[in-house]
Amino acid sequence: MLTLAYLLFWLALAAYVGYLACDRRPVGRGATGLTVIAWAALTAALVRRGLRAGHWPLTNRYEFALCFVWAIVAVYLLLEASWRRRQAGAFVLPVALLVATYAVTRPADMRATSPLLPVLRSVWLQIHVLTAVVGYGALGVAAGLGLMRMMGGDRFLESGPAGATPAAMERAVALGFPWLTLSILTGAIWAHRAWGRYWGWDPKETWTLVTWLWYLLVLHLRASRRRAALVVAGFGVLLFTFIGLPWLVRVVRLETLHGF
Amino acid sequence: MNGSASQGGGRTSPMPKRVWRFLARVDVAIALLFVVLLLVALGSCFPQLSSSTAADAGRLAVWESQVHARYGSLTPFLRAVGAFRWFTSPPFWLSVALLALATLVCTLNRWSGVWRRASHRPGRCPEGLFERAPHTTQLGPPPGHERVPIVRGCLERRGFRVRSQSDGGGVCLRGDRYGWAPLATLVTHLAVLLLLAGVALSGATRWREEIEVAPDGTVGIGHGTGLAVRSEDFTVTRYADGSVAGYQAHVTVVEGGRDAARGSIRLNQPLTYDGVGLYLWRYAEEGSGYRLTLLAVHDPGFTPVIVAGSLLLLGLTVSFHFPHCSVQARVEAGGALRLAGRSDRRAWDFGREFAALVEEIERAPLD
Repeated sequence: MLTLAYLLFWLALAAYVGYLACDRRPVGRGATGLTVIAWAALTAALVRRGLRAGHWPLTNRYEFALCFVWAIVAVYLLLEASWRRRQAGAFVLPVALLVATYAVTRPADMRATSPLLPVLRSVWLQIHVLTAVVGYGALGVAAGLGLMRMMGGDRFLESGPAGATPAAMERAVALGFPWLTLSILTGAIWAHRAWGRYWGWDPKETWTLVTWLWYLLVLHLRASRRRAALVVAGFGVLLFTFIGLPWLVRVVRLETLHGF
Repeated sequence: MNGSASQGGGRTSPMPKRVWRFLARVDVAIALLFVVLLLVALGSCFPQLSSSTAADAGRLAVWESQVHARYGSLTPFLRAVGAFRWFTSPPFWLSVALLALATLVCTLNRWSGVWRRASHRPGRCPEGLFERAPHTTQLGPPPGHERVPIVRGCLERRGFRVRSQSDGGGVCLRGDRYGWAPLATLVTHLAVLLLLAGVALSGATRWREEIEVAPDGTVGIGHGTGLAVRSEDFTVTRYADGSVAGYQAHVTVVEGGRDAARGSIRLNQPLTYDGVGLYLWRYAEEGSGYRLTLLAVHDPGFTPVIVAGSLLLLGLTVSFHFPHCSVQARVEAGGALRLAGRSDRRAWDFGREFAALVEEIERAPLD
């Protein structure tokens, strides 16, 4: 099911790129249809995994990556429905596929389901990870829109008011940032309940703060093409926090309590 | 706000005023934010010495040797610049303090303007409104007076609070939605300050203490609490495959020689009594029972930090998702109806909504 979803996402991307190139409505509809089917397949795979494991599929880096992809595509489909335009798909789906490729290339032991570790048995953890997924998803869509803005923005849109692309990007950041904040807040509550401290400068916490500060900085800047570049770079920081941090922990020999 | 003293007679502003204006600048806040961001990222590149490791001579020696093996001759230099205690070092906290000061100055500087914008909404249409507003339109016949109830109804259906006022022979209508939303930015900035105050309170008053309790033993908790803890029981639950599902310690808190509280401690579920949280930290088998290591924690900064975080979230949510929008309508003496709309920059769909509103007013049947 996951492999099917992954392949369908690639096909959907090809269709979105084709739609951008030829501007034919059936191609655009096909791209959206493929994305919806792929998203539904991913949803089914996640539900099945959760039922098999007996817990929410949010307990390791592999599961989080799958949920991350799910959230990016879900937020994108909502955007497409409200925006009534499909051009952004060619820019947002590569972002989703970047994370999806990371997920499908994880080693088998990480992909296997396992019982929940005692420390992960907390409702606060579930809220913490779930809110992070939503925030990351929205910021992933913002990055796709930022890419679109940098490569021409409204030039790709056949109609509508000027500034539609930056406005959509702003909206995605404005959706993701409060969720990221909520994720940090609920993480602090969980850490207080699990380890007796709400903040410990753990590398994961530190880089989540870096990510939060980055987007806070972006929100204080005036709208410009440079801001779009910073939104894209912000997603790079976010990906480093999620994917690159284990490398930093290994290289610098840091100690971390975070498994993912 | 810009330098009345310097305009009159070429005198420069007094130093405090100049510092105030400097700190109130958004570009200064952005620069400070960037500096803090860089310092946070930099700190994550070095292993940090925790206070618990520093307090334990054995663990400290191991840590020191690992750091020396990693950084070699650079170790004394890195230690001197505080790289291993980066997040408690003066340069880091100085930059955070400067950012907090800039946030405070910025908040105070904007307070009166934002308050006026949120609380003072004149019903009369100001001069030039219909030329300056980002969204404007003018509707011709039928006479605008007949459309006043329609405009009011359309606005109220869209969640606007509408007030009307006679205006030099004409009628002015003003509709506001989320009129108090501009205050959210102040809530957000004040929440950041409260959060930093909570962190400072934690830093100044928090304590943590590891307590080892033998099976059925009682051990006192220090820091002048007058409390002790007695271990009653310890159980390990397992999944069907034998892996550990959870740990549970049953303890009694003793105060002044009397049992004050009894309860269980699990991972993610501490027992709290009189502001002291008891956490299950480690366990080891000893004879027929278990020797427990509990962690006693007192942190008065936690509640302010969570309250501040919640306020921050509230402010962000209101700022981003409930932006202030206003529509003003004037029926001219000649009967024409003019409409003007303006909104916070985060009301992304307001242009579309304004166009839909105008269309709805135009199509509405007249009584």
